[in-house]
Amino acid sequence: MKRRWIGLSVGMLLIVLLGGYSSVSAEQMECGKIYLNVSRIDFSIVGESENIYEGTAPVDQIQWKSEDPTVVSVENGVLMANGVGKTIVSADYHGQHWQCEAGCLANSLEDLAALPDSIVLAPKRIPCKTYYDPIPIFKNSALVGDSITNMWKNHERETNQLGHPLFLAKVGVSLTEFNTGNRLLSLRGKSLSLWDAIEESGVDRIFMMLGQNDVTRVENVAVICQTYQEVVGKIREKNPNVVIYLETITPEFHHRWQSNARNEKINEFNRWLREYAAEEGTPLIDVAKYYENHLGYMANEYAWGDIHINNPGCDMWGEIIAAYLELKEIRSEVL
Amino acid sequence: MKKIIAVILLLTMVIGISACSRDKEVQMDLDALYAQFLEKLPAMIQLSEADMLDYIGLDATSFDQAIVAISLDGLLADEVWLVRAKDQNALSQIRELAKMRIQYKTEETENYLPEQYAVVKQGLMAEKGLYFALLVSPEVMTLKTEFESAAK
Repeated sequence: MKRRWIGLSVGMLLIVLLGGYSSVSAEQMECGKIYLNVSRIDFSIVGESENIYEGTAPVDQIQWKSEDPTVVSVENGVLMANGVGKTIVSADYHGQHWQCEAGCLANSLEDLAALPDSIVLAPKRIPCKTYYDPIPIFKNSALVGDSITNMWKNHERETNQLGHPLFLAKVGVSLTEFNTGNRLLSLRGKSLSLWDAIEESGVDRIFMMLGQNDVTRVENVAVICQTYQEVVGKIREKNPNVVIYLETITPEFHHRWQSNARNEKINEFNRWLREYAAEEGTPLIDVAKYYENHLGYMANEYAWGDIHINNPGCDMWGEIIAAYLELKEIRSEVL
Repeated sequence: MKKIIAVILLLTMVIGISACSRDKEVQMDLDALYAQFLEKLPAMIQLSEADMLDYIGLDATSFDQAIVAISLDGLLADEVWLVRAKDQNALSQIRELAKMRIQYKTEETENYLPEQYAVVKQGLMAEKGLYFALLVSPEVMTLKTEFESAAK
């Protein structure tokens, strides 16, 4: 008799818990979810604006609020810098509450230039906090890239934050070299092309950041873009079931008095990559924008030399990917 | 009777020869040697067995012991393998993998990191019995001498 009561109580508790959980999920699925792509954004100068909303809840039905619209105002997820200072922007919808810090550094470029390095060289955006566990995300995945990715590989060996995904990375390699077969990857004792290595690895998805060395070596960005398409085409042809996540390439670090010519090429390539991914319907993780400082260069705190990323920068890379995949799930676009 | 004596003598010789060869078998304390190497190397990270297989093709079935370490700074070419092969066949395979690795590192540094390219070009392989070393370091000659003198 006692056992029956205990069994009944446990059953009731499970029904209440599961029922409550599923009703919340169903409601959120029906109404949509809020998702802001930053947890902090500092505009460089007054007049800049940016859309930070990427959720599934109807943007015009969300209650948007800025605690100080004279600093940053908000309308339908688009923030506008109106004055120097800091404030909090919030979004409320059907019991969901999201907020981000928003600020503006200067009234003009001249004022911005007068600010100390500690402010100007800091990152402009911080991605939204993700609660995704990175280890399942990177299970059966490969991170494809050059020396930037290779440095992440060593950091991962030390920290094991991602559960040791496969790194198909080669120092100094360019898209051009992969495309022509002039550079091969080494995997399990075999020398293989990039697309053959992906096939040999048996991974389900790849995260690919390539093009940095082409920006250095190839004059014409249009040629780099063409090569990029060819490489993606070869990967797809050989690995039709592997999901390819493209990534924008990170900006270069410069001291403020140095030329920005290389970053202009990187920006041009990234602009093309965003359009290409949208046209092709290929997922693109816009990694670059989270590394930018207020000059459009690599933020000081993530830089290792000119073009490489230090350990905190690698940690953030993992968070950016996790946040992106969380957004995909929110949009029911799990790939 | 003569035959029995001959067989006994033969057996004695065989046992004696095998005992001698065991005595002459090279022995090395790879952990101690690696600890000694670390004084000349930059910050290093040792590869797990899974990484050894994935990135350099070194299969755990081919060795009794293996220490493979690369520079923690991904832009330094320093790399050390200290391996005791299972047998001569395994040793030959490991030698081939090491050649592939040198080629790989050459490609990585050739047009990208000229100073590291010079370090890779000086890289060398050394062997003592079933022990194998791949040494890529600006201190390569010192490491080689230490490897050779570690043999007992």
